Amino acid sequence: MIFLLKIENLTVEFGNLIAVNNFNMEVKEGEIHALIGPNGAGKTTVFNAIYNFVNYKGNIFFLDYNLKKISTYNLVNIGLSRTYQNLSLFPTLNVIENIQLGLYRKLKSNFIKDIFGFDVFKSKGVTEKIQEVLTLLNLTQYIYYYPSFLPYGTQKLVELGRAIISNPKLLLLDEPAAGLNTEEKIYFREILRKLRDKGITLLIVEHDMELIMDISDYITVMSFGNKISEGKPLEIANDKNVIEAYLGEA
Amino acid sequence: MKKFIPYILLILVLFLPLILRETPSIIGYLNLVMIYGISAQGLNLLLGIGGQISLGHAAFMAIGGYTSAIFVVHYNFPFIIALIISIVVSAIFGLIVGFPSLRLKGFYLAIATMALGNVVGDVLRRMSITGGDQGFRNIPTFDLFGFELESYSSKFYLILFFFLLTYFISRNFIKSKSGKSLIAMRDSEVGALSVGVNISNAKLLAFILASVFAGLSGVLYAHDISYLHPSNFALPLSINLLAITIIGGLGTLWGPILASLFWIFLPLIIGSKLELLSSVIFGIVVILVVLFLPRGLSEIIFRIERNLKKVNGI
Ligand SMILES: Nc1ncnc2c1ncn2[C@@H]1O[C@H](COP(=O)(O)OP(=O)(O)OP(=O)(O)O)[C@@H](O)[C@H]1O
Ligand SMILES: [Mg+2]
Repeated sequence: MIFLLKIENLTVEFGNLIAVNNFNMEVKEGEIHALIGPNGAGKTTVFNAIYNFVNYKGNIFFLDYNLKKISTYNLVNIGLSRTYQNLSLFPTLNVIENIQLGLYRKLKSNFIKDIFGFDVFKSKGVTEKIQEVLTLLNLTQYIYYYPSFLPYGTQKLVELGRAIISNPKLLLLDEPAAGLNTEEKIYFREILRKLRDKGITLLIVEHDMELIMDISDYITVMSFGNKISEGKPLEIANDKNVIEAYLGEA
Repeated sequence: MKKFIPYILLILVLFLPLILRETPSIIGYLNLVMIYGISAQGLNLLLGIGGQISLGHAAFMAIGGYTSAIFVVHYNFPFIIALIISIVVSAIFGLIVGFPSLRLKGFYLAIATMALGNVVGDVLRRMSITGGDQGFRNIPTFDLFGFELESYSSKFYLILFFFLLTYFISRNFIKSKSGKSLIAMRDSEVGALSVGVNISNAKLLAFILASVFAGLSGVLYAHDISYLHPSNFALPLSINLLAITIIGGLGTLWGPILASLFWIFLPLIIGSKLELLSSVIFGIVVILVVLFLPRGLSEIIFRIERNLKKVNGI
């Protein structure tokens, strides 16, 4: 298997608007793949199609699975995980509880255990796993904070922690660097590299060109729902179509 | 010090029937507080933890109460067996009522559950085995392996047992993996989906739990009061239970009990002649709590806890 994710002729329509138009893309195992494009290009909609949040024409394959046939809540079980453009943390749970929930499907419990107060999140091996993620993301000092008391950048790290603790094969990140300050971005870049080195394939939607050009192995560019270019960072930086699409936006 | 407070409270509660032996009717009211507290705790799990609204919660109580009464009176089942049957029936009923929640949210779910509650009332009114519009009379008191609980205080201990049981189940459930999956669903459905929560199952679980708690509460009510009438479990009670859950503090463990204490004792304190006044006060308190106390009356408990921590220098 060379391609971890394969999108074939994806079309998503909202009424008269064609948000994604006959779009094709392949994500190779082990790479950092960026999906870029001006606002409204359809990037998030591609993610939402992968997650079965929207109806679509075409096919999306992940490993040997046709994702149309997999319920959203089972995606984490086959090795997919994601973050959202607008955070999707659980505000009434603290940082460690948010991250623990990323293991929801890995841990077995039953109703009897539940009502007798047996805490599966504290079982053997689990605490270490959680500690590992907290250390990687430098969140150890925040574990008892509620998300809304933390800076936006830190909240994004918490969401990332929740997404990676299940050891996904493919991680989808929707604008992970948006809203981060320069220092946080530098730190974030290192984390993304570490994740790739751990064997997680990354598909990243991002507007920060400097970050994208620096860390991506491969880039796909969308504009108005269409794929307008794809290639290695240097090829994309010099692509006439891409430059035009971005200038047209400005 | 703080560790012992729950035990001191518990011992105090255990001695209440002795302390209040001159005024057994107070114990009778406390029994009702616990009965409605159990029901409200169920609604708290549904709404406060799972974020699903129900305007038919009182119907769950009716299902439990009538089931137990029918099996004990018409089929001569022992109370304990009738209780277990009622719990199972309530669970199945909760599952059925939960199905609309898979498609509906907010106001629409409120209306759908209200309609289901009305259907239950109408059916109970028309059946003969339930006593129809005459009500179900002469339901025997709790019979525990031949011991009939006649006095308020003997009933008190049985009801207290179930009250504590449901309290501990709720407490552990909220902290458990399944409990947190409900909280996750309430907080962010897409977040819950991406960590693998099956939203449909989580919603149904919430409805089943709510129905089982309410069903148990209904069973206790039936054998405590010994009389059931469909109109006692109609929309007004559902709305009051909702108000109790909210003014207690959604999602808090103490909320349901504090608020049902308030709800039962307010009319007694004000005096039965001024029933209207106590409804008005209850209404005003609901509004004030919604406006100023996000954690409801259990805010009081949180404040006490915090002050105790200060005293202990933690
Ligand atoms: N649920 C929806 N219903 C209707 N229109 C939608 C919906 N979701 C997205 N759209 C529209 O589809 C188009 C693509 O949106 P999308 O969110 O995929 O863009 P994007 O590339 O992620 O943009 P951005 O960089 O601003 O996040 C936009 O015109 C958007 O308004
Ligand atoms: Mg987007």
